[in-house]
Amino acid sequence: MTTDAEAVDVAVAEAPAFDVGTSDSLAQIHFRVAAVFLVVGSLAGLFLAIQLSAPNVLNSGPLSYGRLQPLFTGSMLFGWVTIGMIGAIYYLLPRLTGGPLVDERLARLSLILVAGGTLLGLVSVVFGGNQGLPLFEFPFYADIVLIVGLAGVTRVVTRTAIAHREPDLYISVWFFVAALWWLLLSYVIGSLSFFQGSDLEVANRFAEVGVLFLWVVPAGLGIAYYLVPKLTDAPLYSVRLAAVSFWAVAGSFAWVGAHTLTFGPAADWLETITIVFAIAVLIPVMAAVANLLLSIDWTVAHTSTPVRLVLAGTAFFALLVVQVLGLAFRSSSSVVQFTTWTEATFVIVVLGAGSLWLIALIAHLTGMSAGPARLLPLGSAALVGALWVGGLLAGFTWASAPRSREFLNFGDGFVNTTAELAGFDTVRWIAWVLLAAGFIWVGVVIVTCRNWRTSPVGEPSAAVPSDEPGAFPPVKVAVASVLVLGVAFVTTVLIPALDSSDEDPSFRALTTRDYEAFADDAPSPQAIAVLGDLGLTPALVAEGREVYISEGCVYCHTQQVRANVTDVGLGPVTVRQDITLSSPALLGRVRLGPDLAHAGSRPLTGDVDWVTRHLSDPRANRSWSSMPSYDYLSQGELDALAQYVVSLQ
Amino acid sequence: MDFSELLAAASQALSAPEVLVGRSARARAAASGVAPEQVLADWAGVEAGAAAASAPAAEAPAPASEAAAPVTAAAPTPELDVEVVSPQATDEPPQPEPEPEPEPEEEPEEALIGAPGLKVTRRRSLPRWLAASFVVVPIVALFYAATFASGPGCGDGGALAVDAVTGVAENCDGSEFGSRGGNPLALGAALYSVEALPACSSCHGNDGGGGTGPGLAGGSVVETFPACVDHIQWVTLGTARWREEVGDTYGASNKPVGGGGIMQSYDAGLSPEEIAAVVLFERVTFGGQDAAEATADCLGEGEAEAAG
Repeated sequence: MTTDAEAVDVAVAEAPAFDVGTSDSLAQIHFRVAAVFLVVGSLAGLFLAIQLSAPNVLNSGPLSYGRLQPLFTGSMLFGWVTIGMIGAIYYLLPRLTGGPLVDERLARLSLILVAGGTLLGLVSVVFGGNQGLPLFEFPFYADIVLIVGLAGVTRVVTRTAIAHREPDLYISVWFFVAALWWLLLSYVIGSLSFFQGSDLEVANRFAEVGVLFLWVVPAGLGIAYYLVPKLTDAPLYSVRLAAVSFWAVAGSFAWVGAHTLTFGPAADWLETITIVFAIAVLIPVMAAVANLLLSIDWTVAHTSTPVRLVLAGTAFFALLVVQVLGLAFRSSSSVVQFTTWTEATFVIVVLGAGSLWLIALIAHLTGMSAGPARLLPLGSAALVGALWVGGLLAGFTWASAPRSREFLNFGDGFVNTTAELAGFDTVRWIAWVLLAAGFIWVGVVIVTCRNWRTSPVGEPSAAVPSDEPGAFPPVKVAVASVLVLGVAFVTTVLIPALDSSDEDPSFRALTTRDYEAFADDAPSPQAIAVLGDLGLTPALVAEGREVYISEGCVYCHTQQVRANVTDVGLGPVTVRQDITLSSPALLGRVRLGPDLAHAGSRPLTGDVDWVTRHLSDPRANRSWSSMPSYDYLSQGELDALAQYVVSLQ
Repeated sequence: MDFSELLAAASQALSAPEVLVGRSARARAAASGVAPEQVLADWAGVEAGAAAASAPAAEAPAPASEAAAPVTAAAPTPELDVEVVSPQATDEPPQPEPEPEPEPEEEPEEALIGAPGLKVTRRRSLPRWLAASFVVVPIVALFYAATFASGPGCGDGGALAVDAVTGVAENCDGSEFGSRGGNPLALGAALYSVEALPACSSCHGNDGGGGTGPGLAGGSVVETFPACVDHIQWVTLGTARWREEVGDTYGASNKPVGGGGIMQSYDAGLSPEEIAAVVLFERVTFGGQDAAEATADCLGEGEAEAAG
């Protein structure tokens, strides 16, 4: 039951001093563009899940797993959730501030740039232009278009908030203004490679957390805080508690960037900072979840599709605590890191919380019935369950392998540690069938909706007491949010980078991982000696690394050996000095295939011919392999890729 | 008079709706331990005895869970009940007393934000459990920071030590990870049959029957290497280094090096103890040597006694 409170509350006689029709239609255009990306991303996600079980399905060039993966994450995160939430903000902001969008022309132009930049980036990545940094794969020209577009959106939203006529600014405005600044800055940090080696890896993960936890989460919370009181026609439990959740989001999530780098080449003190703030993530989650649940009249909740969608999104938001703490704590991380657990972050934030909160608003505006949208929480929950349970199983088996000595966690032994995971791959594609059906249905509803609900803007309230959150000026919100992110950036990216800047590259880095020198055909004498002894050509090694990046090998293979029980037998532990000459370092996040940090030192994978054969027909040697066949690459590319794998000593 | 007649009479006497009167009567009855009919009869001013006679005294005060709770707090003790239940005297309507708040909370001031038409509250208090957790969580986080400021020690969360020279993860005392004393024959068996390094079985067969490499079973391995020390040297060096360091033939029957295929050197991949264990396993299982004799030959007298 969506109440018609909006129409009731405001008499038609008190007509607004401006027309929300134009900004509402702009919001609808955003939803339609987002819906197209949603359909593309859902199909990509479905094909990825199918390819895990059946690696030969649709596997050729642009549709291979390593190229579909960035298409999936990019269209879901930047195309669907980002453009959709910008549309939601354009719809909500004039109502919340009591004034029109400032500079609608810039808002229209920005949509073209954001959508165009995303499209350009996705097309480039699919045709081999991947830059090797997860979530920030787009080439620089697409990045620049996207950044300019995001800057335009940020400007429109910040100016609209500052020009408010309503003195009592509702808390959602804080979330929208801050989230856009965080998105803009995070994207700049993530896409422009200011750093080298391990510092670049740390910066990439800071930016990843920025776009997921500091954009999708706060923008979605802003929507949820609006929808719950609006649809239930009852006040939010406490606006002050919502303000607490705002400052807690700002104060905790920005520092957890390195939570996926536990046991990694970053400094130990950075890991400790990450864990401390990962514990603090409990505060914004508890504040927001408690506030929304305490506000809801449960007799109304189960009859209203948008309210149920908000609640489902909030449930996924609550799961985020488990997800982040599981990866941050060293003891749990030694089990779940590099397993499918890691993949659940994107599912929880983008497919779970973010999409459901956004669809809740869209359901309110289109009046859509629950229909197949019911499949969405179900599919995401099944996916998270499969990723979590499968991750725990894989992690414990990996850790037991070196202890038992019966099998090891690489080469032919890898199958023993992943054999039981085939069932979870099946759950994954079944979950994806549900998700794709639900998402595509939502996309069709958005595109075909002709009769969008609207509500007039009321007369601004009288002045608000100055100690209420609503009296806090938006310009201060913007400044504070930028400052918070800046402090987090300095403490968790810049200082670690300065801390490690005086370290010399290791022998391993100088001989086999000095890729810039290899590409320029100017390898050091040691490199010539070592690579020559292995029968490798430095220029081909560098070329092979480019193929490794463009084919997205990093989505399934790590190149990082950790000093913990799980990684015994994988070779020397990866230290900062090993990767200082590799940018990006391609450390990876998930081991759907074995670790490759020292692939070249092992039997079989140390042989160029064997690797070439294995890449073109993975199941000839290892019947259990889920790696796609790379026979669509040219012989030269295959040979270069094999040389690169063998060079990983 | 049965219950419904009494109810009608009572509600007429009190000029209150039957629903409310009935619920109140049941609650009062549950609280004071008399039949609901009795209560209704009192309120209606009918003879109590007549009512009690017609009503089964055992009838349960039905929705006790629903109605008893609000009244319990205000319910008088049975002794006082007589004074309180006298509606004729006071004409007091028998509505259940308003439920007292368990914890009196300031009623939040409600306001309307004009432009979006959103109701908000000016609530200043938090649920206690939430306020408490906002204090506890940062304390836990700070405690964690203070305790683990220097990063994980060896053994924390599965962390291991790292050999400064080779960079290989190892036990906290610096020994090789997972090295185990115990039964050298079992260690040899495990090492022989793993699919990964050293992967002896991939060339010599799971049962020692041979494959890419020569067969070991049927005593042939002991015929080639009558002395364990030669066998160990062969496995340590492999074909290439044997040719460089020893010569072109090997074993008691002077077999040509490389005649049975290429064997890699296990010098770097296995520790001397592990090589001895694999050799021991091969000599006992495939060569048919007596276990105690072979152990003494390959590992020395002391080991043989310990193993025996």
